Amino acid sequence: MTTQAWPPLVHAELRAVARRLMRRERPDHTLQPTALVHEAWMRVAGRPDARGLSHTRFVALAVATMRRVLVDSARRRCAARRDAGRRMDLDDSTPAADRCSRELLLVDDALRTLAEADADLARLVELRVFGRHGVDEIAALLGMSPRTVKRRWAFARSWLAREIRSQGR
Amino acid sequence: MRPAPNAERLSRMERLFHDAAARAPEDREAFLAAAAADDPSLAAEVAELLASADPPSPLLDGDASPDLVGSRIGPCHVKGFLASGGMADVYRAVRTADDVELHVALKVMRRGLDTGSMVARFRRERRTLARLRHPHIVALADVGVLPDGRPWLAMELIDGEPIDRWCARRGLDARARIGLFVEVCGAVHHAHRHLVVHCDLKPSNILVGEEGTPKLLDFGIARLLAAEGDDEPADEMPAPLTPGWASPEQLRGEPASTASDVHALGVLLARIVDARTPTALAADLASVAAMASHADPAARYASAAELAGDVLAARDGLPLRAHPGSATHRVRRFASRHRWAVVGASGLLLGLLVGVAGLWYGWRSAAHDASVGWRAHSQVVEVVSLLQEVVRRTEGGGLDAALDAVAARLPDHADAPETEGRLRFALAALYEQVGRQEAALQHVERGLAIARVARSFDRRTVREAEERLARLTALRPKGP
Repeated sequence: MTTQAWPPLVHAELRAVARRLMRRERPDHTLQPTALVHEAWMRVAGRPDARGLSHTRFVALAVATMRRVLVDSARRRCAARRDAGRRMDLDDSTPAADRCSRELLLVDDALRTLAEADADLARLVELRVFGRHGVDEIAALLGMSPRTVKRRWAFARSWLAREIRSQGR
Repeated sequence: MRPAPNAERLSRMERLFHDAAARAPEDREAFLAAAAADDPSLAAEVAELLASADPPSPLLDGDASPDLVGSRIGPCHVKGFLASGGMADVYRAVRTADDVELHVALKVMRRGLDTGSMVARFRRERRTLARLRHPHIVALADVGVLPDGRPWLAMELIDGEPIDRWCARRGLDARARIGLFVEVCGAVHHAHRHLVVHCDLKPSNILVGEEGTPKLLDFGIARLLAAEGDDEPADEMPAPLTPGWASPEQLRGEPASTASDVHALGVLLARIVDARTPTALAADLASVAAMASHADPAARYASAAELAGDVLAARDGLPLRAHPGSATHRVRRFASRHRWAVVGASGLLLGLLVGVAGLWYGWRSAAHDASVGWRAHSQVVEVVSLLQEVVRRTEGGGLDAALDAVAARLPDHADAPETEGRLRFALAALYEQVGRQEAALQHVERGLAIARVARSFDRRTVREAEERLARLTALRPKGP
């Protein structure tokens, strides 16, 4: 399957998601948005059922795929740093970008735990954190009211922040 | 370490969280103790979740960094945080220079870009933008670089409303909307003559102030603010793209040009024409919008001024450059190459173009709902691409084969019944005209079945289809 088979706006959707994601990544991130889109594209478009996907399903898959790509890349970076020397502690002098890579792995772990207990809430968090979707978009994608999305996100955010705190120590 | 929550416990935890959050902070502890008397550890956990004032996390909350509030940046005193958009944080500030106070929007790039080449590039852009002086373009007040290397821009703060909302809220008539649109085209044309491309024209960048004057924001800085880093050559930096507004060439990652802005203007035109526009005018404006946002940049209006001219011609009932049947160079080329088929085939293409116009109307009437608008726009894009495919294939082979190829792509639209329905109606018309009555009948029947369920088709389309069905059924050869 070539990328030509997709309507151009699907590509735009992917790029928008990638852009929102990359914005929060470290400035010298080795993955450029185009590369991230391409990788996610190849993975989603390579699915046997790719052409029959609905918009909602496509966005969900794209976000999940980009999450995987980013997590893999964060994992490699953290591993490389560990190899470089163990004196690297997480203190105030740690560059924000390094904290971010580590936090990304912690969120990913916490999200996996959450998915086992509440798959719907985990999907919401994935769209919010890894897709940077707004409340209204998420409401439309998941078929919830914006109020419900806000309430559930408030809970999930507190829960995740606590997980990150307790794991990060 | 805490055990992983099971579904039941987590769901109870969330319920308690919301119920407790709805109470005054001092009442929460007592409430939780009573509500979870059987499970004190759960009560404690919820209390911990509610009590924690977490520091903002870039990952969970985005990386808005409203840390500049209260500071001075150049001649600007930063008063408050407005928004995070694109690659920049936007602050509200007051700029004092020569004893004149001006309220400005201060855009500060998010990350350090203090390398020499970025700063040089920034200065170049600043010179370019300084040349843009137009009553409908928001002027750049100042540009500079923070000590940490982040470039910033200050521009007049406009107290206005996005053009589409302004038109809707004021209930402007078609003439007033056209007037506003032509003013916008004038501003875009002015910038183009100074070799500045906007790249990201959309209603949120076109604000109308109380006095009814449109002002274009962010001219020429879209690309500036999109810089990912210093390692990419300036001209290959990706610009921000807005689905539904960006042109096909931008979506393909090609450099934006003045033609890309003309495309966005076409999208805007279709967006601000509303349902009360007289039918004939609406049809003309739809043709103009379709030509302006044609997938092929070469088939669009050559300039924003030319587009404005056609909009005014439509308003005054004069002949248009764009009207169904001759809207594209492709169609004209096609007609000149295949004189034998012109009479039949141009009729067919006309049918498809009318189908496209129908989609534009659907899109227009759905303009209040962004998600519906997006879907309708993707339908237009899809149908136009099919139209091109029909023409392309016809140039190389038979029209029959082209139609079959299009029909074979119908399963792609299984999750978009509206698109599928419209495609089937268009195909039915085309099959009927090439004499494939059985195929025409099949498509019109399926299309009508979809229209009955989808309910979003306009009456005229459905009536035409019903008439076609009746005609085809009447002409059907009696079976043996």
